[in-house]
Amino acid sequence: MPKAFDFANPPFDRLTAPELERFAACLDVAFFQKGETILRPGDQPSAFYVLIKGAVQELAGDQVIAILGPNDCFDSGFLIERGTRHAFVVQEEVICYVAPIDDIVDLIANNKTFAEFFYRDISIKLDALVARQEVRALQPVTMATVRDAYVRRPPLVPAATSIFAAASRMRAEQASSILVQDGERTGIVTDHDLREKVILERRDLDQPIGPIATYELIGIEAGDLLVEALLRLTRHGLHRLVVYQDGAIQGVLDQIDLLSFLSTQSHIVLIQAERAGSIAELRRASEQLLVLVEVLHGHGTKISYITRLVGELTRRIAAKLFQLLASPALQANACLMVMGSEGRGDQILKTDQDNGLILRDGVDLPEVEQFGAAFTEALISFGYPRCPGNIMVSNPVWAKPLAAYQADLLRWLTQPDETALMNLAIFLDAAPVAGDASLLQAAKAHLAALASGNRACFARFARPIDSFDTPLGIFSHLIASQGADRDALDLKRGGIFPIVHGVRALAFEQGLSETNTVERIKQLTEQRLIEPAFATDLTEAYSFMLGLRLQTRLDQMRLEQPPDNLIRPQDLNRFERDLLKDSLVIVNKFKERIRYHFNLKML
Amino acid sequence: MLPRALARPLARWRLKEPRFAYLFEPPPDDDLVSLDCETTGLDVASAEILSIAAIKIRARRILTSQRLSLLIRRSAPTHRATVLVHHLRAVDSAGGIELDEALEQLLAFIGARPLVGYYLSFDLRMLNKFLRPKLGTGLINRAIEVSELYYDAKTHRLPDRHVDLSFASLSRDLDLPELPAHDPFNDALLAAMAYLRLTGGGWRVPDG
Repeated sequence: MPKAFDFANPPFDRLTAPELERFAACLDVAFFQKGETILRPGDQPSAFYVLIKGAVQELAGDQVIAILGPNDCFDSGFLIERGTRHAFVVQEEVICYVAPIDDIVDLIANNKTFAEFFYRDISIKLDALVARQEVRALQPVTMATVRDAYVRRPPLVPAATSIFAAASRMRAEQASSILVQDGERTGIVTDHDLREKVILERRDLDQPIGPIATYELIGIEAGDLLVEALLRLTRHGLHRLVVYQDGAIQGVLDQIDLLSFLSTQSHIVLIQAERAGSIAELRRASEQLLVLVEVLHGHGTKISYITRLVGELTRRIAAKLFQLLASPALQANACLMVMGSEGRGDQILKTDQDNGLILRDGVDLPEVEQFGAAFTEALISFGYPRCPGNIMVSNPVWAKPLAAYQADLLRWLTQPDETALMNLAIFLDAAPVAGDASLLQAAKAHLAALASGNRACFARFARPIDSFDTPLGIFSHLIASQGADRDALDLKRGGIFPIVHGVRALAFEQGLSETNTVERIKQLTEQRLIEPAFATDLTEAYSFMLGLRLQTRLDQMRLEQPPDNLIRPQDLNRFERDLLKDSLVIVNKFKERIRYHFNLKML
Repeated sequence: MLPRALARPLARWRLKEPRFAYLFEPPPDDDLVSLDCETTGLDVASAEILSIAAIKIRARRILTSQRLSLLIRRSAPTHRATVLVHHLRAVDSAGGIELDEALEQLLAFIGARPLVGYYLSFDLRMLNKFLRPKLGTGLINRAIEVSELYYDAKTHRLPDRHVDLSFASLSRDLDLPELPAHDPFNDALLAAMAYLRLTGGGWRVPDG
């Protein structure tokens, strides 16, 4: 067996020891010289290559899309697409393992996690990552269904089985209950039943289990809400419910599992925020946010749920604070809005405050100034830092009547300097949080009317998408040239911003009122501005990068380092690096589309 | 040393067993075989063979999937120092095959193909020590010494330079992968890699 083979390297870390042994035994070692083409587009390769030494360029047309180095392998695309799409050309003399395709195909057929690696489509790769971490998606508790919780599958025995045999079976499968099949009927016997009906009644253990089973089962459908399950348990004083799916018994929902599921849920924090009667109570709810995010992320919760949760909580806190601080006149005649990442619902932690107030024209509200200052201070005390650009209700520029905003919007469109474009971007992401939402709607409608049909204006707006280079180079996968040691890349500028801004520009042009990036992508897909397959890739790339950023932030907070958006590729594992690379390829593709769509090359 | 043209008929004439005649025919294909033996010592007269590995090289490819890896059964107690170098204890060798059986398999595997190795002459002398009584002659396969190829490459531009011929130095210079040493399979694999690096034309002698 070639012992140089790096078994710890994906995808081979997913193989079992016997699989690895068989796989290693079928490997050859091949040499390729500089300039040699190992695979051409359209080739039906008979071998799969794993680099030991040297470098291979992966080319799409003339464009180098990746440089593969030691431990990288190619080409997995053909496994699902039947045919290599890219050319693989030796850049630096290569020593590589050559695995016969048939053996890889065998492994793929027999090992699901191994197979997943090869599905090149990034969303499937991401799902594989999720599956490996045994992630359970987080949903608001009101939406969570029985199948989201842990449904146990107790053993099933015929009614004629002896009590002793049934109990042995329960022990063997570590089950606290067992299902009993008696003709058409299905019953259940629990630990509790064994104590009450067998031990305390001195029943013979060789008697059949059938007679002691309970056949009037209280059950619930797998698709029913967990809240309903909780109610049913309480109402009947039960410890478990039988779970049905299409009339057939699926398993058993244990009270313990239900409660443990609920206790990790976020709704508790949301409810606390909702019920807060004072600023101090609201602050307590807010303080749990970080803990919650850390716990959720630590348990592998999907990043889109975390952002949704954090967004929801932030808005509720702001809304509650508005209720607590604003006079009834202000609440009736103003719209509190959050902007920037808060408006998009994209923030992953407590971010800088970005909020504003739109006042109804012609209503005199002298208390605005005092409210603004109190609101901003309260949020600071909750841990939301002051906005460096001073986009806060305490700043009169962002707390003024509708007519004044409308004048601003016209100026931003017609005199588009850097600040104007930035303000426009921030305002486009504004979402109403409390007060009269129609004021913000009116401002946005005004903006849409002003910009409507003005292609040059949309193009100018889209243009900053090229402000930062994607840190994906011609001569290496990831360009890490940022930071003190020049070994990091700026994920926000290089990866996240282009997606957010490109999507925002398209949404602006289409007059969408939606502010969330993922939702905007959905709507743009419905309007056929983005094709569905690419939309999926774009969304997953975006979520993946947000997740990476969250991880970095959490690490920085733990180490008490100042927050930044830098990612050090060497801190990532191979799988993550691969995904980041794929994500940045998608960023590049998206930028290209945006440039084309808005004709940016002509500007 | 005899010219190859003469060596072949001479060896065939000396050959005791006609079934080994294939060893002295022209090679059946263009393959080469990288070879390495692990022994109990470096003195040919007293050393024993512990294990043998052979890997075919076809064009630019090392056929590790069709390798030959032989562990020899030994009866004599293994010297402690050898155990420390090769991690082969007497108990490991107990699972091996008889030397005679190993040599038969090896001969069938290499045939008349040219052999590649690092310090190959030692391996050949070791093998021939046991083959001569059996065949009546030693192997006459062409021997390609990678340290010689390396020396030639290094002195091509600077004829008088000193060349460190240790395997560690050669391996570093040729940028070969790091493999656990003193495993005959790995050593044969590294020799094959060194051979392909040195004959591929892609390798440039580093300056200095």
